[in-house]
Amino acid sequence: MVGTAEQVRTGFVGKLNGRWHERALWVYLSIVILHWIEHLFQAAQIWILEMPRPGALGALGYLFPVLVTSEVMHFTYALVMFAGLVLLLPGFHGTSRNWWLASTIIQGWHLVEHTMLQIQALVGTNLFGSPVPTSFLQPFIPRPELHLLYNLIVFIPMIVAMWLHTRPEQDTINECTCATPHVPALVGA
Amino acid sequence: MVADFRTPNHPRRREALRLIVGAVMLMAWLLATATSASAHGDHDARPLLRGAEAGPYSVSLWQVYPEAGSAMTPHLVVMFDDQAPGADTEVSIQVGAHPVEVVPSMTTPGAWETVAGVGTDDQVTVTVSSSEGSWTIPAIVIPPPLTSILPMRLLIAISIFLAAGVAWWAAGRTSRAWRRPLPGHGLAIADPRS
Repeated sequence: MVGTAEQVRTGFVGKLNGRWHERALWVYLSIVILHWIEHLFQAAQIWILEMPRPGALGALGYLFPVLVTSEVMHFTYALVMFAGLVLLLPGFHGTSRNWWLASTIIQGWHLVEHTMLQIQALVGTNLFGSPVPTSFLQPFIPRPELHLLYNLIVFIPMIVAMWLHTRPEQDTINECTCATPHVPALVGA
Repeated sequence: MVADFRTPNHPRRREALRLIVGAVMLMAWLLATATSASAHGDHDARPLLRGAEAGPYSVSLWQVYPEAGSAMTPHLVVMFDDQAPGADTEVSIQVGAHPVEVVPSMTTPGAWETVAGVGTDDQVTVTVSSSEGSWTIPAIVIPPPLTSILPMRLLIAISIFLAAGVAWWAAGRTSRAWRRPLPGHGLAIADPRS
């Protein structure tokens, strides 16, 4: 529920976790789903359509191949996703907060992996003596599969957190409208 | 105290948030504008041979997908581990009984790379030569492609259902969120409990 006047948050982050939280959360989830679908496209191309890996460009990669040969899109997305998780965290309370926090921590590690890829490219020295920039866990799991897995294990606790956060019983402790039941009648309308 | 820190607008909390946002912005500026690494799918390098002696050199043999071009099989990359190869150093590679074209790598400094890809079960022989002599590394056979230890088909199936379900849920809730006026914009939300 929306709190009383003295409870209403101020400032950008305050509003983001108060009156704007519901809309911000769903916009954020839409971005996450779109990126998630892109990863699924690429994985399906490799594992279901059995395309050669260099030919598995995902959906956007067919239109803009540069997105596949550059780490910029994935790095930027990892950064945006981490920033979103951190910025929207204060709006979560109770058990949902723990799930959101778990997602934030896992995404933090995912961001470290992408940052390391960028640093390797900048410095010119790669992990494990590899000729190309390499993720920490890449010796065990190929990169498309590894990053699909990272996105999945970030996505699941995030969805659990959102589901818990939007339960009607959560309305009493929320400072936003996320769990407020939808009623057509508006006071003062 | 944790409880205090969790209070909205607590100075420490606001400071921490500013620091995190600042760090994220700095990383964005530093890294997103810099030379970028290659992305998913292109570069899964795997070592075929490490620390092999070739006269004065220690070399490693890697298999990696090319960054450019249309080759759909991974190239071979010969890397010098400890010291940069001399100017007169040459690397030649034979696949089976046939020599293949080898060029200095465009993407890996001090390395040499085949122009064409090599396939599973190909027998590869690497020879390093310089003015001091010529050294051949014992032939190796290209192993099957690197595969995931994860049950990928199951993982993809679960992910597709999960993504579809969440997208459906999100579409409904997003629409509802936009139909609801923002609090504090003249219309108050009716509290169903009152």
